[in-house]
Amino acid sequence: MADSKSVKNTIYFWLLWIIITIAGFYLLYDYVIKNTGFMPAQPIQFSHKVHSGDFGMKCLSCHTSAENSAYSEIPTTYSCMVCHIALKNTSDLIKPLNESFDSLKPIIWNRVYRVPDFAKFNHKVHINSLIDCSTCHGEVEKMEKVYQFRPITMSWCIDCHRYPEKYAIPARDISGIFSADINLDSLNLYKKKYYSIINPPYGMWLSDVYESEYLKNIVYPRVYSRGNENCSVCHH
Amino acid sequence: MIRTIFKWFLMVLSSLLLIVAILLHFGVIKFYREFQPFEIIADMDNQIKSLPQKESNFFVDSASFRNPVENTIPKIGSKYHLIDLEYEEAENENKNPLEPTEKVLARGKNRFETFCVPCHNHDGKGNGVIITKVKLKEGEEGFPAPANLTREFTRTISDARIFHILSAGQNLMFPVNYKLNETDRWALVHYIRKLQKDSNIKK
Ligand code: HEC
Ligand code: HEC
Ligand code: HEC
Ligand code: HEC
Ligand code: HEC
Ligand code: HEC
Repeated sequence: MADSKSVKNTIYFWLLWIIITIAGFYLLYDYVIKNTGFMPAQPIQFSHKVHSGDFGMKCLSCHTSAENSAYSEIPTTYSCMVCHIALKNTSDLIKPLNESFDSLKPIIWNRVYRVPDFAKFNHKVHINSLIDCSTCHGEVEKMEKVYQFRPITMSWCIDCHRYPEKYAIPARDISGIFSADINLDSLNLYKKKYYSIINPPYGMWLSDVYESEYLKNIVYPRVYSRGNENCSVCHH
Repeated sequence: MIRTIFKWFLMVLSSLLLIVAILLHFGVIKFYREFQPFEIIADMDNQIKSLPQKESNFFVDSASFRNPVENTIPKIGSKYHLIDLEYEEAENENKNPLEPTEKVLARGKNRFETFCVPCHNHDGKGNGVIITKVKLKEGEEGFPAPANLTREFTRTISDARIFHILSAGQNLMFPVNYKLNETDRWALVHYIRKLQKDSNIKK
């Protein structure tokens, strides 16, 4: 009798232990493997809080190419020197900037966000759909130093492509995203006209929403297209 | 006896793990780290391809962004070939292709708010935040106040000349053609004209 009871207890104990351990590791996964909170050392103590938060510089004024290309540029030394050629030029913190400007050697910033090379990400489509930077990067204008705000996982990408209304934050003022008439209507019409007659490509999730819908100006991606859930949109 | 202690030791350890994980998850404690990401299995995460703004070992100057071949013309936009003081050529060559329609002005406004406001301020009067709000330590220089875009001189010069200033620069005013394409620059010219009209009305 006593024997089988203690066996039972032991089994319950280890079951509980396994559940707790797995839950712990599962919750830590974002931080340990998916790099949330990754904040690499940078060659210059550049502060987004001062530039964007206090002085209201728009994100696109430095990261200009986010609007019209897949890649969002890190600004060149020249675009910093526009102001710092005069402003605080003698400050110690600006010194590396001066050296780089004189010697024509680029500053090597360490990158924070990264999608693995087997997948591709495109800033242009998201910015033109009026999705704000803070959806994916957090409120950078409050960060002294940029860190990775959230894990970049495939489930997150797909979730938002299915239900953008749950995830997307509409364009804010500080981002400088151009919101008037970006003429996406015609694009969607084209897609509807030509793609609805052929079978949806592999991997595309079909919903009953066929019309292009707008949520606070964000284009609803659930329209016939190459399909935001088609594997080859993000994978080569 | 030792087995029991070991058992409970493991239990306490994993409970602590869970508590820390939950606190992290709900943002009660913050965690930042500087070291490079772990990669358990780095399948095809790092491929030997050129990425923008990354170093490339293939070229002598180690830049992966390549410049266009000499004497080629870009498909969109064109290089501005005049320099600072060639005002007359600028007057003759630059013609504004845009009408000040609503959309063009909206674009101009967006571009002005994004790129010019820190110096020129929202109304173009030239008292933007980097002139008024900066606190300087001893011995440090501030930014000299930029020109008032609504002043008489700027009103009288032609559109072509303003476009020339935007494309080739003038003293401390930097050329913006490395960031803004031609259409955007012409839209800005229209928006500057609108600012000038607006400041008229207020007087
Ligand atoms: C629109 C003008 C502008 C541009 C462009 C600009 N900055 Fe600044 N920068 C400022 C202002 C304003 C301050 C704050 C001065 C103060 O402390 O009040 C500042 C402060 C700094 C400081 C701290 C200096 C000190 O002594 O406290 C650093 C470092 C710096 N900037 C780096 C950069 C880098 C790197 C870039 C390019 C990515 C850049 N800045 C682009 C306006 C600018
Ligand atoms: C004065 C120019 C400037 C402005 C304005 C600016 N940034 Fe940056 N940004 C930089 C520089 C320089 C870096 C690289 C240094 C670093 O990572 O801290 C950077 C890095 C970043 C990164 C990390 C990129 C990576 O993966 O390495 C993100 C994300 C970012 N900025 C988002 C924003 C957002 C969002 C805004 C608007 C609130 C903004 N930036 C405004 C200059 C700027
Ligand atoms: C839909 C989510 C999303 C939005 C919206 C977004 N980004 Fe990103 N951003 C990413 C991802 C994912 C990466 C990593 C890209 C990679 O590794 O190729 C990234 C990378 C960057 C980088 C590093 C350079 C690069 O392209 O790899 C900068 C700088 C940046 N973003 C700035 C911005 C700014 C500024 C905005 C707003 C105008 C913005 N991002 C909006 C998801 C987003
Ligand atoms: C906040 C919501 C959101 C997140 C997060 C998001 N996306 Fe998107 N994505 C969109 C929207 C909205 C569109 C626009 C669809 C359109 O214009 O039809 C889009 C379009 C795209 C497209 C273009 C699809 C096409 O038809 O060509 C690609 C590629 C893409 N996303 C990749 C990604 C990747 C990779 C990630 C994860 C790192 C991601 N997205 C995360 C909302 C999001
Ligand atoms: C919205 C863009 C997007 C779409 C659509 C998409 N993926 Fe992904 N996928 C990603 C991103 C981003 C990653 C990298 C996530 C990470 O680093 O954890 C990824 C990772 C993966 C991985 C893991 C690879 C590894 O070694 O870690 C597999 C497998 C995969 N995708 C398969 C698919 C398949 C199959 C489909 C079609 C049903 C698909 N993906 C559609 C964006 C996408
Ligand atoms: C770094 C601060 C700064 C920024 C940002 C800036 N300017 Fe200027 N701007 C100046 C200064 C300083 C002058 C005065 C130049 C001189 O002394 O000749 C000037 C002069 C001008 C003039 C000539 C006015 C005249 O009467 O001579 C025009 C036009 C102009 N800026 C337009 C713009 C536009 C459009 C933008 C946005 C793309 C812009 N500026 C952004 C600093 C700036």
